[in-house]
Amino acid sequence: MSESRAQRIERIFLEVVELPPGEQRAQVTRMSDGDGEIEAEVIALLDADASHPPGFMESPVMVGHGKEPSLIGTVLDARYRIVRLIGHGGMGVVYEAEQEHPTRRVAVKLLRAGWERQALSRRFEHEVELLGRLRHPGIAQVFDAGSAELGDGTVSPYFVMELVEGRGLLAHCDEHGLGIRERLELVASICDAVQHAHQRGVIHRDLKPENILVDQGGRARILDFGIARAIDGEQMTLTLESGQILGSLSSMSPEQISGQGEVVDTRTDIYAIGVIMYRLLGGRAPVEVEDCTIAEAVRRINEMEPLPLGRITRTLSGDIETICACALDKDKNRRYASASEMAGDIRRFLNDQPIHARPASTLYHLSKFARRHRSIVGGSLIALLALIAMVIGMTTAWVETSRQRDLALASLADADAASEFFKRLLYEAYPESGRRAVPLREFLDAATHQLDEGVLRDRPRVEAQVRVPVGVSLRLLGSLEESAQTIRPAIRLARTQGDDKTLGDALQAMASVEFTLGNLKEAERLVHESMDAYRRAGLADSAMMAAVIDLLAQIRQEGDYPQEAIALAEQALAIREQLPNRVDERIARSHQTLGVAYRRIGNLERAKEHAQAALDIYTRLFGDRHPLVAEVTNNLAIAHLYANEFEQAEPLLLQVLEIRKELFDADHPSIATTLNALGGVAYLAGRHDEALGRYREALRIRLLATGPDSGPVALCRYNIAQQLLILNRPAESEKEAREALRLYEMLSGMNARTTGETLNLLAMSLLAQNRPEESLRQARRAESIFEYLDGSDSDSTAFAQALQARALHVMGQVDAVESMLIDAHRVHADLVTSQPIRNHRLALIEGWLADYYETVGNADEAARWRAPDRQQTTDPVPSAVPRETP
Amino acid sequence: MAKSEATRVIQAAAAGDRNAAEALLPMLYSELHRLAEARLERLPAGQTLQATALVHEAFLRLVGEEDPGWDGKAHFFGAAARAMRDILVDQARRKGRLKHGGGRRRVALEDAVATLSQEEEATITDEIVSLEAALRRMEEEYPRAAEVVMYRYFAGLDSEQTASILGVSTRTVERDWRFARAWLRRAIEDASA
Repeated sequence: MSESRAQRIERIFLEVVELPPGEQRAQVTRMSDGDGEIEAEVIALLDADASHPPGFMESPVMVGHGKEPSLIGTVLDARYRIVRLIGHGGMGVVYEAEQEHPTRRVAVKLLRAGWERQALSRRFEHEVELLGRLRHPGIAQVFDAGSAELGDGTVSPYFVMELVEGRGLLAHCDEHGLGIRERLELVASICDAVQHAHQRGVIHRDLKPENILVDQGGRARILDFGIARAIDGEQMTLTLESGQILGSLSSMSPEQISGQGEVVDTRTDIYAIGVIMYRLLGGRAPVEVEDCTIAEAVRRINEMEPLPLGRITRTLSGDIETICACALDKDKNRRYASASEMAGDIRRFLNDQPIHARPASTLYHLSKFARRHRSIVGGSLIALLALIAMVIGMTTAWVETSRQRDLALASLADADAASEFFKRLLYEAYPESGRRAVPLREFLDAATHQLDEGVLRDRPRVEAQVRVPVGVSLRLLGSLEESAQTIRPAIRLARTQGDDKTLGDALQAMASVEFTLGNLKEAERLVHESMDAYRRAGLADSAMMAAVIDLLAQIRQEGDYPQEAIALAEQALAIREQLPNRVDERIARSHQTLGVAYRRIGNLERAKEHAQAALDIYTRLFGDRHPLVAEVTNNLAIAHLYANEFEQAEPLLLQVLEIRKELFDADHPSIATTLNALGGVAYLAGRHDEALGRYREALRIRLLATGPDSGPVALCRYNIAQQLLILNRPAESEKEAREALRLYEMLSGMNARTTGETLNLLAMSLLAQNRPEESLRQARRAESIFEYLDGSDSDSTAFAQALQARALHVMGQVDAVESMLIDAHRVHADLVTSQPIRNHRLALIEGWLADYYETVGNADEAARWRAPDRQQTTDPVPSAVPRETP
Repeated sequence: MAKSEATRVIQAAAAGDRNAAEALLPMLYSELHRLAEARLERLPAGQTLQATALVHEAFLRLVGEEDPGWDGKAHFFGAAARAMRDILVDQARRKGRLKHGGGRRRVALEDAVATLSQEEEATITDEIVSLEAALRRMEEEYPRAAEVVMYRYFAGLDSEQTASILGVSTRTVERDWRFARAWLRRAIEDASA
C-alpha cells in the first residue's frame, strides 16, 4: 500500500508526538528519511502543538443578539442606581450599581425569577439578616436584599453584595500557573471562610469554582453565600436552563442530588470543597456528569468512586489524595466534620506534619464469637455452656468498660437473664441434654424458635444480646437467611434500647452476613454504622478494634482494593501483637487476611509466608481436623496455584475437601470454595470436563446457600462460562456469562472490575459464535471500565482493546487492527508476571496478530508471531484462577 | 418534535434505515436552530453561549433518559456536530456582514457565560469562518482527524466518548486530536498570512 505525503506527515507526527520534546526532532529526522519538506512540515506541526494560544479550538461559542436589558439607569428602592451589566450567572443577572449612603459601588444580583408574591416573607428577611452577619475577608458580603418591580408588572428579588473584581478560581490558577502548594493554600483559605459561615449557621449549598473569584491580592472570595437557602421556599420558580443545572450537578453531594433536602448540612459544603480541590488539582471533576442524563448523573454521584488523585498525577498520591477523598466521601458521616478540620489537615500537609484523616479506617471490633463458636461445631453440652459463657462474657466485658455504676448493675442483671434464657432452653427443650450431645444446629433452631415466640419479650435488651451470638453461629453454619432473620430484630431492639455496644455487635454480625452474600456496599455501610455505635459506647480503643479492622480489610479486599486491605490488616496485626493478653488465634487471623491480600497484589512469596504462619498457629491450637485449618490450607493452595505450582496445590486442596466433608454438611458453602479451586487446578492441567463438573457442583451448593442472586453464584457462573467456551460450547457459555454479568452489575456495580472481566469473557463467547459486532460492543464497555479503574496502560484495558481489534478483524475492518493489537501486546509483554491468566492472554494476542498478518498477506510477520518459541495456545479463553472466598 | 419520535428515528438510523438517517440531520438542524435562537434571543448582545451545551441540551430534550444505544449515540452526535457546524458558520457569516462600533464591556463572571468586547466578538466570528475553510481541506486530506474534530469540537464529546463512537482507543483519539489542532492552526495562520 503506497502512502501519500499527507499520510506520511500524519503518521510521523502521531508516532513522535508523545515522545519527550527533546527526543522528537531526532526521530522526525530519522523517519523523514532525507525528505526535508516532510521533516519541516512535521516539525512545524509539533511546534504548533506545543504552543496553542489559550482557548484555541476549545469550545465553540455563539454570540447573543438580544436587546440590552432595560434596568441600566434605573434606581432600585430609591437607593441603588444601576450603572452597568457585569454578567449573567446561573441564578440571575448581575449589575454594578452605585449607592449613595454610604457612597460605594456594589454588585446587585437580580434573580431571574418569575415571582408572584408582592412581599418578601419574614423568613426571607431573617435569612438576609443572617447573611449580613457574615463578615469574613473570604466572603463577598451581602449588604441588603429587596424586590424590584420589573416593567412587565412582575417583581424579582435582588441581593446587594460587595463588588468583587477578580477572575474565576479555575481561570486564576491556570493563568498564573499556580503550583500544588499555592492551590492547596487557596483551598485552605476557602475552608476558613466556609468555617466562618458555618459557625454562624449559614450553609452555602452551591459552592463551586464558578462561585469563587480570586481578587487582585490573590485572595479567594466566595460569592452568593447562603443565597440558595434564602430563596428556597419562596413562592417562585427559578427558570434554570438545563445546561446550568448540569453545570451545578458535578459539585453536588450525594445527599443533595438525591433530593434529601433535610439532610443537607455543613458537610454538604465540605463535599463541595472536595470537588473544588479535586478540580484544582486533578484538572477534572471527581465524578463526570457532563455527558449524561439527570438520572444517570444521580446514579453516578451516588455510586461512582472518583479516581484517586494519585492516579491522575502521581505526586498527588498519599496525604493530598487522602484529604480530598475524605471530603468527597459518599457518606457524609465519614467526611471531615468541619471545614476547619479540613483546613487543618491541608496546612499540616503543607508543613510536613502528619494529617489526621486516614484512608478509610478507624475501626472496630466484631465477632468475638468467631473464635469460640468453632469449638462448638459438632455440638456437645460443653458447647452450649460455652455459648452461654459467651453471652455473659459479652455483657461483663461491657461492664468493665462502663464507668457508670448503676449501668453496670443493670447489665449484670441482664447477664443473669441471658444465662437464664440459655439454661431454660437447655433444660426445657432438651431435658436429657445432660446425657447426650446436642447438635448445635438443633440448639440454635430451638433458640430462634423461643426468641420468635417472645420468651424475652419483657427484656428487649437481653433479647438483643442473645440474638447476636445465635445469629452469628447460624451464619457460620452456612444458614445466611436464618442468620439475618435472627440478627435483624437485634439491631432494632438494641437501637430502641440505646444499647450501643450490642447495636455495634448486631450491625457487625449483619455486616458479616452481607459480606458473605457478596453485598459489599451494604456490608461496608453496616460496618461503619457499627463503628459509630461502638464509638458512642466508648469502645473505640478496645481490644476488639483489631477484629473489626480485619473485617473491613476483608471487605476492601473483596472490593478490589488489596493495597488498602494490606494496610488495614497490618494495622490489625500490629494491634493484636501488642495486646496485653494476646490471642494467638487472632494473630493467625491477621496472617490469614494478609496472605490473601498479598496474593491479590501478586506478591506470592509473602502470601505463602503469611498463609503458612496462620496454618502453623491453627494446627498448634486446634489439631489438623479443624475448619480454620482447612480454610487456611485452601488459601495456601491458591497461592501455589498462582505461582504455577499445581503439583503442590492439588494435594493441599484435596486435603481441604476431605476435612470439610468430614466436618460439615455436604452442602456447606466452604465445600463450594474448595470445589472452585479444584476446578481451577483441573482446568490448568487441561482436564476441562472435570473442571466443568467441579464448578457445576460448586454452583449447586452456592445456589442452595445464597439463592440465585449472590456474588459467589456469579463467580461460579463466570467459571462455568469459561470452561464451556474452552469445551467449544459458546452458546451455553454466553448464557452463563450474561447471568454472571447481570449479577455483577447489580452487586458490584456497573464499573466494577468483576463486571469488566465478565464483559471480556462475554465478548470472547460472542466472538466464538461469529457475532463480532456484539462482541465489539461488550469489549468496548469492558475497556471503558478498565480505563476508568486502571488507566489505559493496564493489561485488562489492553486485553479489552485486543478483543475489539479481533472483532474488527473478523468484521473485515482491518485498518486499526494492527496498531491496537501491537499496543495490547506491548502492555502485556511489559508485565513481568507469573500469573497464568496474563501469559495466556499474551499468547492469545500473538495468535491474533499472526492471523491478522496472514489476512493482509504479510507472511513473514505472520510466521514471526507464530514462531515455535512463542507459547502457543489453542484455548479460546485465558484462565481465571479461583479466588479465596470468605 | 416528540421525544419518542426522535428516539425512533435515531434508532432506525442506527439500524441502517437510510431514510431515517437522512431525516435525522434536518430534524436535528431545526431543533438546534430553534434552541439556539431561543437562547440567544434572551442573551444580551455580546454575551456568549457554549455551542456544545446546546448539543447537550438537544440530546436531553430529544432522547432524554431513553438509551438510544451505542449506534444511536454515534448517529445522534454525528448529525448534531454537522448541524452545529452549519449553524455556527451561518451565524458567523451573518454577523460578519454587520458592522459594529467600539466600546469594551467587561469581566467574565461565570466561565460558561462570558461578556465579550466587540473586538473579541469579531474575532470569534472570523475564527469560525476561517476554521470552516481549513476544515474542508482537512476532510479531504485527513478524513480521520476531521472526524475527531467533528465529535470533539462541534458535538462537545470528550476523548473517551469520541473513542467509543469511533471504535478506537482513547489514546488514538487524543493523538489524532493533537494532530488536528496543530494542522488546523497552521492552515488558519497560512490562510491569514
